Amino acid sequence: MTPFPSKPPVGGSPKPWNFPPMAVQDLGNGLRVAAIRVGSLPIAQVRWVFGSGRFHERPDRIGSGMLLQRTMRHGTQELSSAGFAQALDRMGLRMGGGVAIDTSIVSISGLVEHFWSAVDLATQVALAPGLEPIAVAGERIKVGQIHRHAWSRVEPMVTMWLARGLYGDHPYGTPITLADGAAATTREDLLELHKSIANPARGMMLVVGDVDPERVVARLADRLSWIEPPSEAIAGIKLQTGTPRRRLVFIENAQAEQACIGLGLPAVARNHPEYLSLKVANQVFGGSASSRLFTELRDRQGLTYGAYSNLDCGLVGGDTTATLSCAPDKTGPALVGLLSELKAMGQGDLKPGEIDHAKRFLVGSFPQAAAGLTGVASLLTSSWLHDLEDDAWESYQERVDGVSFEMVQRAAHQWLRPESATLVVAGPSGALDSLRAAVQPDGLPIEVQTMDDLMAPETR
Amino acid sequence: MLDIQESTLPNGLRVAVQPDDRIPLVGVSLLFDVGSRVELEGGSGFAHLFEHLMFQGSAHVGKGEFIQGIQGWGGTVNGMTGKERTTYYHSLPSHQFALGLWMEADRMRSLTLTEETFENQRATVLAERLERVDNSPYGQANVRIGEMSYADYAYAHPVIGYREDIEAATLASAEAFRRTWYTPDNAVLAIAGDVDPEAVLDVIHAYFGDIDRGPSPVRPPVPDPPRMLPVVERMDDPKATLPALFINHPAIPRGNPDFYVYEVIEALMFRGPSSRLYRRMVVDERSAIKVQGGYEANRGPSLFSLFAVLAQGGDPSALAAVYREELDRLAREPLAPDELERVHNRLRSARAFGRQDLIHQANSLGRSVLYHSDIRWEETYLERILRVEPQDIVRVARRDFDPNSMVALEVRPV
Repeated sequence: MTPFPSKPPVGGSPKPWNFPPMAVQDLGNGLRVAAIRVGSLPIAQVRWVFGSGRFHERPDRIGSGMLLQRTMRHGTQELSSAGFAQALDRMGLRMGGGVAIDTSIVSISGLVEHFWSAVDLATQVALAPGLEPIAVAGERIKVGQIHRHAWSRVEPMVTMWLARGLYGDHPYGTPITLADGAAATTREDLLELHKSIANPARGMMLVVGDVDPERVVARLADRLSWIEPPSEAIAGIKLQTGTPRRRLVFIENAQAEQACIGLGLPAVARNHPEYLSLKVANQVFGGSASSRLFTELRDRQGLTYGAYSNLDCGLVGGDTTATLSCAPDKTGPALVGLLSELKAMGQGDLKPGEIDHAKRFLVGSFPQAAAGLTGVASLLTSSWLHDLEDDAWESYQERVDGVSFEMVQRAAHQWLRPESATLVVAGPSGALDSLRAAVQPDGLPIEVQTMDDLMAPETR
Repeated sequence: MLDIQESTLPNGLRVAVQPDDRIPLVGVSLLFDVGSRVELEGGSGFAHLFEHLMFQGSAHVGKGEFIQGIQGWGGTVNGMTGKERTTYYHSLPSHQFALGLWMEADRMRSLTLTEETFENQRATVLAERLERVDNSPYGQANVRIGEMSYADYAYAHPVIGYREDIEAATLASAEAFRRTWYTPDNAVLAIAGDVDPEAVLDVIHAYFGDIDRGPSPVRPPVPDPPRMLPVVERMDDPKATLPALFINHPAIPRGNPDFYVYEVIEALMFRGPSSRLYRRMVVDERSAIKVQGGYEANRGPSLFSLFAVLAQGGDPSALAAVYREELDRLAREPLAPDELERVHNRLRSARAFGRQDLIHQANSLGRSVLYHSDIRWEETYLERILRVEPQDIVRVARRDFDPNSMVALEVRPV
């Protein structure tokens, strides 16, 4: 037998793979209908997407978006809660989606033999949800309970304070719930919120699966052109202005056994020319288990179970965030380690091999992202919401490949700088002691806050 | 019928390859027939700690390079440890399938174990335990219900282990563990994706063929299903904001002909918006905000479980009574045809969606070989589900859901 080779095998040539073509039609009411064939398995997903969301919440009804999302699962104007649930299960359909800050989605997936039933059900939920008083009342209680749960845990505490620190009073800085918001929300408030969100002029009906795209789009156009756009223009989300200040916030959570550390930085919108360069830089920084944060803070120093960063781009702004959890007495060293890695990124301390690795990851993982119905639907949702080029996905791998070392270095220098960072730590008092010992020499004051301070004007 | 090929190498490694050319990717799953059930008292958590060590380097693949090697081509990679098996899986573009197999073969034959990486991974596992158990609502309760449910330590202790046992683990034990369990004759290698099975089998023979067999480890006997005493415990949880309820019944092991009846009962009770417990507890009576559970099938003792998070101020004992009523209903009323149809369609749809993911396919194929010695087991699953009759459910519910053979743990926030 041949001895075991000491060098890794060299692979052959990659097999050609292309993003499947899409059929699209824009209707007179402003609605886009689109379909794409992802075949060979007899399944399909129908997805309503609206470029609107929780930013329409009234300031005294923060949490009504979550309440709407949950109540929409309880039937439609035609089907009771039980009838709707049985209809889904009878056909093995599954419903997904949600109401996010600037995007709302209703999706129904299932076997392709039930595809047109899925279209009908998804359309009923998206455009004519039941919002029955009994369902609203039940979900209102649950949202209150979810709120209490989230506000008692260090990870959501950090997420909410990071958003507040990065975006201030802009809707992106608004927490998903406030104590009184959902409690005060009435059925009428939900109907009003739904009307603002489910606007066909800012909507798309997307079909992904084992379907004939041209035929599906033609039939959908026939079935959906009756939908009336709203008589009055509905405002979109306002642009984000202002830049966050460098700060370090600590929130004490006496019950926690662990501290959570979050770092936030302003980033670019999805259609910004530097987006791909920053995406590659983020991949080097903390995008995966082979990135710097994971290998240094977990695999070399053993400070945490995992440390990752994420580039998140909304309709009018974006951010890079990094989070990790650690034992309270490791909080100071973990924060110092996190900032050290950020500093190296901001100084452009990058190696060509790392950039190549990050690019190969993004190029190679793309077919996997596009392998399932939800993955393809998410990509097409993103390209529509962010008004990307028509060939955004067909040429994605080529574009990533075209990002140069210098482009990544420039993006890292511009967008990954410690002096722009919002830092938030939540944990028990031991975490604060560890933090004080670690960061005082740096001179950054620690703002000790409580969750009750989150929306106070002075905490912006 | 799928064109699945199988082979067993002279050293005992079992291999199965399932071609799927929908997308130019490959999913690989390497399963070792070892899990936390082989751990003795004082040694809990070792199988899981060892899973971490498998990513710390081998003769030709440096520390961290396994993950880098896979992710450098855009692949996904991870490991998972259970009571009865440990699985390592990855995906790659199909033209690089040999790279992943080469790295797997390298760590099977020449894992590098050093004090430095051992200590580092011990710290990482302790951080993981802190995150998943100590700092998690119901984390301690989850450990406790396991201890209450299994009479035998092998199954009763948590996979992640007890803190003091992890702290006491030694590098010498790791080397012995590797020699005993991480051998080709104790493993199954399953591949699904856009590959030529013959070419894959050639590569596997070349890379894995000369790895020595293991010493035929002495496996702890699979204990009989526990006969639980009806025990109810209460626990305060400072991490929880809402009360919760755990209830476990002993269940038939994997391999029993009633396996499929349990699968149907699980779907009927827990899966989908019209499932019985979700509908009654969460929607209609609003006594719970979340309900989950189902059939935890092992080769050894197995469970049928309920975990519910109650609404604020809810009474876990009252919810337990509702659960009892629903189990009694299973034993009393044969399932109506339309409800059975809903269950069948949910399972049919779930199976079709599962096939989207090549790692999922490889893991399923690997389990089919490991547990059933049958590469067609997954393919025939639905056929067997469709054979379950309403009277089977009544029969199993009468036999197994005995109120005098269950454990319950009520958790209250403080």
